[in-house]
This record gives sequence, C-alpha cells and structure tokens, in this order.
Amino acid sequence: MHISEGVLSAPILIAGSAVTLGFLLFAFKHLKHEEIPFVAVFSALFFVASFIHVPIGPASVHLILSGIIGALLGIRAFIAIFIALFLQGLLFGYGGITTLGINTFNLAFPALFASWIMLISPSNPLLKKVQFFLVGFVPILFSGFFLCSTLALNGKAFFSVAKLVFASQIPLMIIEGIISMFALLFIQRVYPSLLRRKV
Amino acid sequence: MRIFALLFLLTPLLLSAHKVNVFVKKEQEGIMVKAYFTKSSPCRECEVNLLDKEDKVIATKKSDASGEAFFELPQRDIQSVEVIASMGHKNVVEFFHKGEKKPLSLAFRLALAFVIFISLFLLLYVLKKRKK
Repeated sequence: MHISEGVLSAPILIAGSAVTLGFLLFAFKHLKHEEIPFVAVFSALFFVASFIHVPIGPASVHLILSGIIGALLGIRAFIAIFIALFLQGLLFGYGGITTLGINTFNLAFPALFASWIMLISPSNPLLKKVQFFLVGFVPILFSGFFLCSTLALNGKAFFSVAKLVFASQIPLMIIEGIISMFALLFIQRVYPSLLRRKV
Repeated sequence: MRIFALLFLLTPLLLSAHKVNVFVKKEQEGIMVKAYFTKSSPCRECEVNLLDKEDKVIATKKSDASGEAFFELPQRDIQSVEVIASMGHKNVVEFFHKGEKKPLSLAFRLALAFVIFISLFLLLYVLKKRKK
C-alpha cells in the first residue's frame, strides 16, 4: 500500500500533500487534549501492524488495520496514520518522505468510511458481525482503489501494475475484515463505551 | 542449590565461549578473515565462505591453525563473510566497502522510532495544552 519515492510525478505528489495537509489541520483542530494518548496508541498499532506479513501464495501482504483505526478515531486517524507513515518512511524505507502526503491520503481517507459504517446500529447480531467485517473490508477496498487510481494517473505505463496491485489487495480486504470483526466484537464485549464514542 | 544457581549464572559465559567471532580486513592483496571462539581458542579448520548479494558462495577456504584464512580479491562484490565451525556453530558478518555507509541496525531504528514517536506526541500534547 505504500508508494515508494521516485515513482509518482510532481503534480500528484503536490496535490496529495496539499489535500493531506488540509485534513491534518482539520484533524488537529478537532483533536482534544485528552485524546492524544488514544491517538498515539492507534498510531503505534498502525506502525506495528505493517511489520506483520501474511503469506499469500508466493507473495505476502502486510496488515494495515486502517478500518479499526478509522472506526475508533474518525478524522483523528489522519494524525495517527501520518505519524506512523512518517516514521516508516524515515527509518524503514516503507514509502518515503515525498510520498508521505499521497500515502497518508490513500490510507487515512478510506479509514473515515469505517467511522461512517459505525454510525449504523443494526439490532440483529448477525448484521452487527457483517457491520464489523465491513469496517475492516471497505477501507482496504477503497485504499486499493485510490492506490490504483494514483498509479493510473501517473501514466499509461502504470495501468497493468495498478490492476495487479488491486488484485493482490483482495485477500487482504478479507483478512482485515475478519480481524476487524473479531477485534470489534471483543471491544464490544469488554469496553462497549469505546464504540459509542463520538468520533 | 547454590552450585546450580552459580552454574545458571555462568551459562551466558559458557554460551559466548562457543560463539564464533569473525574479524574481516580488506587489504591491498586480498581479504583476511580471522575467526576465533575466544582469544586463546582460534577457530581451526573452519569453513570460511565469501558470499555475494544473493548469498551465493564466491570463494571458500578452510582456516589455518591460527583461525586465519586469506583470499585473493574476487571479481564479484562481496556482501558478507560466513564462518562455519564444527557442531553447527556459525557466524555471518556483513562486508562493507570503503566509503559505503553502514545501515543502522533494526534494534537501533526501532529505538529511534520509539523516541521520535514519543517526542511527536509530546509536542502535540504541549501544543494542545497551550491552546487550552
């Protein structure tokens, strides 16, 4: 999901950085003093999750968990994901500093969809499970879509790569959906007020 | 009981005595590799391999009585030097060319990430507190 440095053209990088900056400022404005440790915990979760690789056939994908982060942080997910991506780019070569803006947008904006999905309150337990599954599934679906669009916008040469990248994300969508479902069901059982927080 | 406790405390020392230490030096004529368990116990007749980026063996030799092996400069770039002693003891050291920057270790990068991470959120905390 991380686009490396030297791949994208300058207009895409600038546009991505500008949009992310806008979201970051908005998130910072709405961030409450007492929420900072909470955001830090989810930023650390995102940072660590990227190191967990799931082998799929000859390749492997790494966890993102943007759905859970978006569901519990809302717009503040931009701050959590931005800081984690900054450290990954700076110290571990995941993505990069110039692509930080576009990578943050591609991962954090779809995370907002998870917070919107959480607004639905189904009464049926089965539908609740489906809702929690979608919390993990939908953000990865849209992150994959945004990632492919970014690559496709970069030039026709990237069309085939974009298709391949999207196909490789399909198993991850399902894995993240299942992880989110179990994680949120657990949170619902042990700390339900966390899910009722206004994000 | 005390003897067992003492032996338990000495275990790391016993383990490090079996660790293969490898010293590599690039000279004008070639590459000198010295392998030893402790200073007084050289790694005799140990297999010394020069490996390339794909971990393929470029050259191989047995160390002499003083634990040393000398290689003429190979044509391909060396990425690492591997020393295999008896009983499955082995050590691999990365080989760096002059002027090449040594990458930071994973532990150091993780520690650095932790420090930057805490600093950034402390900064956010201070900024928000001041605004309040």
